[in-house]
Amino acid sequence: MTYKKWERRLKSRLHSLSRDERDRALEYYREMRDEMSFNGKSEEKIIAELGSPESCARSVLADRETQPTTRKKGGYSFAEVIGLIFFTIILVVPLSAVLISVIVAMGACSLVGVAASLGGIAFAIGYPIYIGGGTIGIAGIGLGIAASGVGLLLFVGFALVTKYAAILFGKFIRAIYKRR
Amino acid sequence: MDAQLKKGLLEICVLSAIEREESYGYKIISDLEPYVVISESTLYPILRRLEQSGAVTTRNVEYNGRLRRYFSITPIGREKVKDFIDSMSEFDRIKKFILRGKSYDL
Repeated sequence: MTYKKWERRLKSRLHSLSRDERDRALEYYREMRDEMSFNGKSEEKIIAELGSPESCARSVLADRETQPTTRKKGGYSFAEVIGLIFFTIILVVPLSAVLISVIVAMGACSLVGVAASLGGIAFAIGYPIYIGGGTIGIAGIGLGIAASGVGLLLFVGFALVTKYAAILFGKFIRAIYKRR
Repeated sequence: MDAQLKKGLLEICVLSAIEREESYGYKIISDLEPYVVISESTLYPILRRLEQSGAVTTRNVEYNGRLRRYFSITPIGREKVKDFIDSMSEFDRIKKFILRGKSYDL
């Protein structure tokens, strides 16, 4: 295993740390690697002396519980709750209403596409029967198929827009109310 | 040795290693080696604890194209070492008490 790979494994096991803490630990091990290398140790020997990334991560994380934290994790203060309520009423509710309306409208348009597609098929089948064949009947079949295709395209297009609008809305809500 | 006791002892050892002059991780391990074996992954949390408790301060120095983090002892750190030395006589008394009437070969 190369040091680069060793470090990657250590980094992934330190994901629960803040970025600063993680960088600090990685810098420490990098410094150790550099010093050992400077003192003539091979990469293999260095990695063997450092131990597995898992055990190094354990010793870094073991003390985390005793380290002072500046903020109680997962909670909102009273002032934050009041601010969040005002923020919700003034901005989030109107914006959500607009976004939901857009999503519903897009959904409805995709249903119109389905209806147009089905109508086109029905027209392509029914019109020649009603007219009784001939050039006009064939033109009717073509018109029906064309309408069905346009309907299908409308359905696919609006369904995709609806889907991504819904995903965006979900992200928007999560970003606002995500607990820091 | 009891883990908590060893943890405290190692902290004092590290502080003693940087008491005369500032030092960096690899040198601290090398200086302590004849007396106590301390691994790289054991040293890291000790240094972080000492730094967070204000017993040491750090500064980065570029040396031969690589970065070294130097650790210096603070008055809080010196006080810790002094407290430990003061408590040694107490340890001696406790040891005598534990060993009273026993025939351990010490």
